[in-house]
Amino acid sequence: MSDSSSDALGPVEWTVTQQQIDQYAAISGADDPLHVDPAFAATSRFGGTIAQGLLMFGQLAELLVRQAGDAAMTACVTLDVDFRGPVRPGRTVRLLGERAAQTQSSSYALTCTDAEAKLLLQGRGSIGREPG
Amino acid sequence: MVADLPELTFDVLTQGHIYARRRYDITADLIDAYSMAIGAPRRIVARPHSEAGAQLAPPTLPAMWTPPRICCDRWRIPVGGIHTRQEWQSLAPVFAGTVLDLELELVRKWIERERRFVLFESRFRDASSALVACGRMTVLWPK
Repeated sequence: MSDSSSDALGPVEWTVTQQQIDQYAAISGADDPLHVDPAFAATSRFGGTIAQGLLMFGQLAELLVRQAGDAAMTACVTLDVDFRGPVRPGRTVRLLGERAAQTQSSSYALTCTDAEAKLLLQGRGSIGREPG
Repeated sequence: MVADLPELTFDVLTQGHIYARRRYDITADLIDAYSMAIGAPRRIVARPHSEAGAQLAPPTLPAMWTPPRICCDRWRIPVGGIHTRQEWQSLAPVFAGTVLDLELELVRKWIERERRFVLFESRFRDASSALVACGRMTVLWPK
């Protein structure tokens, strides 16, 4: 676990695979052909399959939660993320958090970018006090 | 058969309507599978007000069921929706063995630059009806 006073989360590099997308589809039900059917997705405006937005959202959240340390594992977690671009299998993305504020919670600006530094996800997340 | 269900078009969508009520079991296997997908380690932590350890779900796990195509089982959802924004609040820890009830409400729909957007709010409650997580999902609705 990282030091909870750190000003940065990551960066973490991650390459999503079609197998991971398929596995996530199996457990969540997010089996839209845009995610799991390469032939269908090839005819879409994306030109191929893309990862489920909530799969990437979970990855970004994990970056934040990992920071919190064991003592804060059961604390309130708040996230607000815009999806700016698709994440394609085989492409490596970079997940990063930068401290935004330190009040009652630890708040971070969160980003996911591709190899060309294009923003794919952008938002903020915080871990607050433990629930009563 | 999904094909027999009415299609949930933008015009049919009604603000304030509950489009899904579903119950989900949070099992240890499910937590393991979801954790593997997002790169999270297995976490065993003490339950609040207890010394006993239990497997803790990543805070975003329930969010995976909130897209209308997944939870709206009385409608046929058109293909091609684009998820543009996700807000999420995990208010209480979710441990293996928990049962969660989901309610999905359409809170807003609007047209912006000829694009049709919808905003769904999801609420997850535990067996005592306590709110444990909630979210808001903005989707560019397919034509």
